[in-house]
Amino acid sequence: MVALLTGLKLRLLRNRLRSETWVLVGLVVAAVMGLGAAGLASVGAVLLSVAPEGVAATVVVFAGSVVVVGWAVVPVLAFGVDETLDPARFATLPVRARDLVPGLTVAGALGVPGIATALVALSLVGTWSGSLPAAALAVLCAPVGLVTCVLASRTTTTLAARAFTRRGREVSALLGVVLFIAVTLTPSLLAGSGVGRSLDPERVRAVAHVLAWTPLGLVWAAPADVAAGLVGRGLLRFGLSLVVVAALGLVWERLLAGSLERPPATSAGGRVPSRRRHAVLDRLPDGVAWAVAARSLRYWRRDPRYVVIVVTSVLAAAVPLTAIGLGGARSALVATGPYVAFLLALSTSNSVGYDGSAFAAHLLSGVPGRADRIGRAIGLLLWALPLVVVLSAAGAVLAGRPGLVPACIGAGAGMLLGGTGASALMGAWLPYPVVEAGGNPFQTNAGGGVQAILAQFSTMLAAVTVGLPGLGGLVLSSAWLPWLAWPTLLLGVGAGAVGLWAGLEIGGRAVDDRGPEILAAVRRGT
Amino acid sequence: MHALQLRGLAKRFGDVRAVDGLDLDVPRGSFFGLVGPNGAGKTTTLSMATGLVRPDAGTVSVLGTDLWSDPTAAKRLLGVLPDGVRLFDRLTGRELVTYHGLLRGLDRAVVRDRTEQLLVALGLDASADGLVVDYSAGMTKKVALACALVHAPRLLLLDEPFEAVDPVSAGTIRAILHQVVDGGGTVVLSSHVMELVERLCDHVAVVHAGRVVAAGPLDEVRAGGTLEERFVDLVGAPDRMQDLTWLRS
Repeated sequence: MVALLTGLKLRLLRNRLRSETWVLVGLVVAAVMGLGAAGLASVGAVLLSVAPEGVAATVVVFAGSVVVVGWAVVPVLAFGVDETLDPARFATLPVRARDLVPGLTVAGALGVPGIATALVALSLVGTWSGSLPAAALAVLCAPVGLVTCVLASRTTTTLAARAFTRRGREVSALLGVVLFIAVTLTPSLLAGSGVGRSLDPERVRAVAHVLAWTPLGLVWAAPADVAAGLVGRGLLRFGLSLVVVAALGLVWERLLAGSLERPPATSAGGRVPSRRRHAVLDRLPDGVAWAVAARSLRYWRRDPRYVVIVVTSVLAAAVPLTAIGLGGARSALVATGPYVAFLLALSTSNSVGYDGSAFAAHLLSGVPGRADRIGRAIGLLLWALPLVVVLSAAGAVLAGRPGLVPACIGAGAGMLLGGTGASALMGAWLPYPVVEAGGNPFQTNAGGGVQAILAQFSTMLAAVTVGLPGLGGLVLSSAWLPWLAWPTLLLGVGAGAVGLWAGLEIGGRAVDDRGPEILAAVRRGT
Repeated sequence: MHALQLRGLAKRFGDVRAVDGLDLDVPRGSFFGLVGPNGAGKTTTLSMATGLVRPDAGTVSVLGTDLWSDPTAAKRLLGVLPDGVRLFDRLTGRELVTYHGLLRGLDRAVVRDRTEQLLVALGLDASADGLVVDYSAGMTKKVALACALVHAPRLLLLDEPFEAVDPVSAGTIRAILHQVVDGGGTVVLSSHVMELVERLCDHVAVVHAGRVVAAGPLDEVRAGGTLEERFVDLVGAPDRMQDLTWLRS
């Protein structure tokens, strides 16, 4: 059974690699990054063997616990539920959960994260190489640690698959994105605000001490005990870590048995939850473009991918700028408005890709390309323009440069309008497929690949070109020519409006001319 | 004048000739069935006849209007239920049908009335305020059909309209399609369920390997036998059946 399931996993992977070149590229990149990080960590682990008394134990227990938590949490939050070897697929076969557990565990460890974890776990033998018994125990602990990680991740994902509705899965994916951004931006925030300096090594040691007695840290702490001469305590921890593995295995087996008997429903057959009807959107002006705008506005609220765009755009601009601001360079805050405008405008460049094959409705109805482009632009500008104006003004005030308010608004609004025009044009010229709603928001290039990069780059270039008058005016008026603030408002908005008009016109014509080709481009790989 | 006339339609994907010089005439007011084995080119043909896929060669004429040279006029006459195409499924059923009506440029009041009537007729009124993404496969098919009907098209092209639909809903859909034909409209549907086509359609065409191998009034095509017998004759079922004795345990 183990060989069968492992073989199945490898075969599925091979077949996916064969049909999609970009999956292969992605795997190679992930392997290089993952194994590279693991290699560095391993070198670090071996170097710990010459670290002062107690440091190695603290670091190993702390890092090991983080790895276990990562295995348990990351697949649920960020990646939706991993469906390779989805246990529900075995529901129709006469297999018992007990028989599946070992094979699915090995299959779960096969992959970049599993191999990287195994590498680091084995390198701990080097950490404890000063003491022969400790090193020997570390050899035994490495597979136990890896299995703990895999079982933890399988248990949480199986649980998540059973517990969550579609809505729940989407919300957890969204939380994952926010968490990811928070984690990646924390260092810059800490560095900027000086909080990091107050991190006390004594407190870290105390935390590691507690972790060493939890299921997260037991297996990593055992060799450390032996190295410190506490053989009995080390063996006790090792024994307890085996109990943890057995317990996790049992819990997972229970959950798995449940999945096999009652596979989680993929769609709600009977009851469909109701939505409140929307008074405002039902009263927009008549016309095809306004219908498209109303649909687009609904999608900004209901499609998790669009919600991710809004959250990431605002956070990506606000957090680093705040960090810089706290760090003393407050004047950088004048860039807030234009930067958010830039990100929001660009995010809509592939809105047809987000529609996917649903774009066929526009094609079948003979929607004029111009109405399609204008509708999507209205759907963004109706809420983004007020937001950008407020952020631009707030940025100037917070930077302590209230005189720059008109220039900031000019640059921000100009960037939003012009960028929306650039997106309308490039979205018609270079559409590419994206992951469907409910899929993993991090997994962009689902076959888009080179075209996606080309499209994003050229949209950026076009947006910056159109936004240049406003941006230039902002730079000049902030540094040398204060009187330019008001003219910049006119200049920025004017250039943006011209760019918007041109983008909608040319883009609209391109949609008319290339409708079937656009549909084919966004359907590729689905 | 025909409701739909395809001439020399061709499309290849890489090395595969999906549709290979296909000719088809659909008389006005007919209930036309398009049958063929899996991979015969039915969906590609319908995609080219509705403006979703650009043909490599050939022409499509909808009630005398050339689809690929005057798409706006031709598409106004067409109502389409495409297969393998997502809907804007983050809209509720009511919003989706309304959206399709508005995309067709209809007046908002007209769209509102028709939407309510279609939702009731198709038994979707109870879930009309639920998101289409939460619908079952059969409900999704029905709401897609409502979207295809909302602008009162003269020619309906339906790709596998009865797939995943329960018998009660199938009866409702059949009644609606008969209304369209009785009112002078034309219905073309593709299916690989021969009994269904035989019961429903008055004209039929058999598609095989990207071409029409037989077409005409149902009785002419089946020539005394059943449609299934005739179909197997035309398409050819290779004698691959082995005696699986171990199945009789």
